[in-house]
Amino acid sequence: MKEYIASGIIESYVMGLASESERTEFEQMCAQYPELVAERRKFEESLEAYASEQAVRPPEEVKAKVLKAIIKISS
Amino acid sequence: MGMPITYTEQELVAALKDRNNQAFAFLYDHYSGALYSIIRQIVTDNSELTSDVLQEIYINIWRKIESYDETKGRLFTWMLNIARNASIDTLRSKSYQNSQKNQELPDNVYKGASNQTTQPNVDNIGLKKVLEKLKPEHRVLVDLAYFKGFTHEEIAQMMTIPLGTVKTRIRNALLQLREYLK
Repeated sequence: MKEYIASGIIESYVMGLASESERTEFEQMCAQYPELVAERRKFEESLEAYASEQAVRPPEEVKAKVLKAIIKISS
Repeated sequence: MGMPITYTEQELVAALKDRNNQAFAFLYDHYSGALYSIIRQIVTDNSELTSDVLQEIYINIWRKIESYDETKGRLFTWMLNIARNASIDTLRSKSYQNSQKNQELPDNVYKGASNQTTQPNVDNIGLKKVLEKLKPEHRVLVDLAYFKGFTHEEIAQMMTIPLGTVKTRIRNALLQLREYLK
């Protein structure tokens, strides 16, 4: 398991770069090994923290457009 | 306006699956900057197009929230992947390709440091900034895979290197990226 964790599969999976078969295998492994899930979460959290730190404010008008669009979809 | 509301991730997901508009507004306020940043790193021009992509992403999130499965990853990871995929689709769309035709493309995109000063600062935000710390032969591969959306097979063909090498280098590069994110 240590080797699997250190193989780069976690990062590859989280960032959407794993192949179909790698994804399936990784998900099966996660269902079996809580320590793998814990490592995945750790990476996800640091990715999220970094992405938030590097946020770029979108143009103001987008929010109103988005909210209008989803209300239209919902009704 | 009312009181500001905060959610735990679980509460937020439950409220979104319940089609709660207020939860969706919270989702916009909290994550649009991070998602817009990734769009800007992939669709590297500051046109209206990037706003359109952001809008499309949030509509997709709203439509697809039922299919979000928390056992597979955090909400942000799921959204980031939606954002990345939508940005790459845009990059490959005819209308985007046409809009780029009139602009001179630098032919030294992959030659590294020399073009840093001439590129607009979109190259220096987010993961792209971290990418700069990698060895050139790693950087090129992550750029092609993550930011341009090529498969490992396509990259192996383009770069004429074995598929196994592409995979190993990308994995090693991602492990290094992880260290820089800490």
